[in-house]
Amino acid sequence: MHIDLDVSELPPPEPLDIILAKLQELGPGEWLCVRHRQQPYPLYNLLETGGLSWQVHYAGPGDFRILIWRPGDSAAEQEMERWQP
Amino acid sequence: MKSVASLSLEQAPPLWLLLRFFLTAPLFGMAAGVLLLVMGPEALASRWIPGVMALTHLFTLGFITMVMCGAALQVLPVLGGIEVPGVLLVGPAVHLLMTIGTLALNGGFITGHALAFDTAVVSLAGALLLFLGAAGLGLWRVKTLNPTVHALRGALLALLLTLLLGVYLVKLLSGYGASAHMLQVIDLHLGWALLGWVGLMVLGVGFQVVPLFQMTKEYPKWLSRWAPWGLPVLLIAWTWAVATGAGLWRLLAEVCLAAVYMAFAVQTLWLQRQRKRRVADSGIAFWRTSAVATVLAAILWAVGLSNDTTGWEWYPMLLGTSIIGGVVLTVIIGMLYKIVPFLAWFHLQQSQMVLLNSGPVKIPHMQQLLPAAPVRWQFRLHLAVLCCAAAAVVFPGYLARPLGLLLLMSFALLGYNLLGVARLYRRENSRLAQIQTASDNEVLSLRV
Repeated sequence: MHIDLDVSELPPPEPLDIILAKLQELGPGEWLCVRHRQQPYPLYNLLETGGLSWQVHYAGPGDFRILIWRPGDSAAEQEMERWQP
Repeated sequence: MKSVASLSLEQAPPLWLLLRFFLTAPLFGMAAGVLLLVMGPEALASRWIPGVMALTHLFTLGFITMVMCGAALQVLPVLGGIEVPGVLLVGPAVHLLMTIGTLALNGGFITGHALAFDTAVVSLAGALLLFLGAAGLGLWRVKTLNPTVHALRGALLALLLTLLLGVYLVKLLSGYGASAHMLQVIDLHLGWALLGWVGLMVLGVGFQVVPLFQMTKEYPKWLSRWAPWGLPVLLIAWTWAVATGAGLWRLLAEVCLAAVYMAFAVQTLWLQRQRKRRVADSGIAFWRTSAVATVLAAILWAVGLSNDTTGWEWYPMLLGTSIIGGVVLTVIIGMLYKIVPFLAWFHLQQSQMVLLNSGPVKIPHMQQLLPAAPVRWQFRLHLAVLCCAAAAVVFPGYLARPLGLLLLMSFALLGYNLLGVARLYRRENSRLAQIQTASDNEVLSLRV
């Protein structure tokens, strides 16, 4: 099951704060779909530290979707394969 | 189309490497307050007396350049995804040499001792050349060029010229020769320092942080595209005019330089007025005050053009105070209150993420690391400093010592607040480290 998170209108560091708080609660089969106005480079560094996987989709100017999941969570990975922006 | 992100931020420098710059800087501001308290009105009598030169350099080198060097080491990896070469060695060395050099230079101004000046030249040249080499190499490697990168490159060029002119002036002051052109060299040193190094750095950082942190629109292309190129070109033209005594060309270059900074200030105020989300943010108040001070400084400068200022001893002092204090100190104090809690919080997030797979761990929010109330007090105190400084250069007899006291209080509060963030960071970081090594039973009590 995916959790939508729109942080595109929030000033820093709120997007990072909210995303990381959600990641703390991420259960089995769950993955995050974050809508952001720019590439959140500092987030990628933190995801790498936490051993999480992510994909970035460019949906248009000022519209990036970042999908985040736990590697090896096959239910989340299968659902994500079917996801379209 | 799906694309797997391959971009990852290079590891930013360790927190303590940066904090040493940001925590040392307020001590130099406090030293300026103590100097004023000790010397009294004499320290503000004229721009040519040693006390004023010492005060100026405590602010420009000890506070402003100290913070800007630390901030550049942090900004470069974020901006271009590049690491400053040898940052683990360069950072502490630059910090140590800058501290020694600034102390020695001020010792030289106050005592007139040649050994102090020699120590200052060696230390400051060492610090700034090391910084310029490392930051320059980093900026050279940046692949995604944007207005901020261009502005920072211009700022580094300006810092190099400021340093060379400064070394030449110190040599003259310490008795190694005489020059008929000393006044022009002082003007060039001041111009490249304030309108080049500091101005371009603020402009470049502003292009990034104002839209990002204050949720405004981007700066217009005509400004962000041309100002980072135009300012160094104007400064070179101005240097030529000063060196050759071409008065009209000098005036023209100065008008253009003032116009570019006015445009940046007015645009900043306009963007803040139009911003999408209006949240109470003390950072905006600092930026806004700095922009208003830029406009006031430009008006003051224009008043000087249309009047004979030879009898106004206070005029250059007031102009200098409005630029160094009103424009630059304001924006840098505001930025410190953003940078330090953000860095502490970000580094805690990294420690938190290491523990992600072993269960949820709470860390303080940025507002808990530095609440809004002390920052609001700082803003009020800083405004009091600025008002008192503007009056003190006109009436030094009455206000020099009260200004010293206000400066001491303001920078002490800044240092205390920033140190509070650092202490909270250290406490939280050691709690997270304990969780990593603790047994399961102990962990439960440490997670909250």
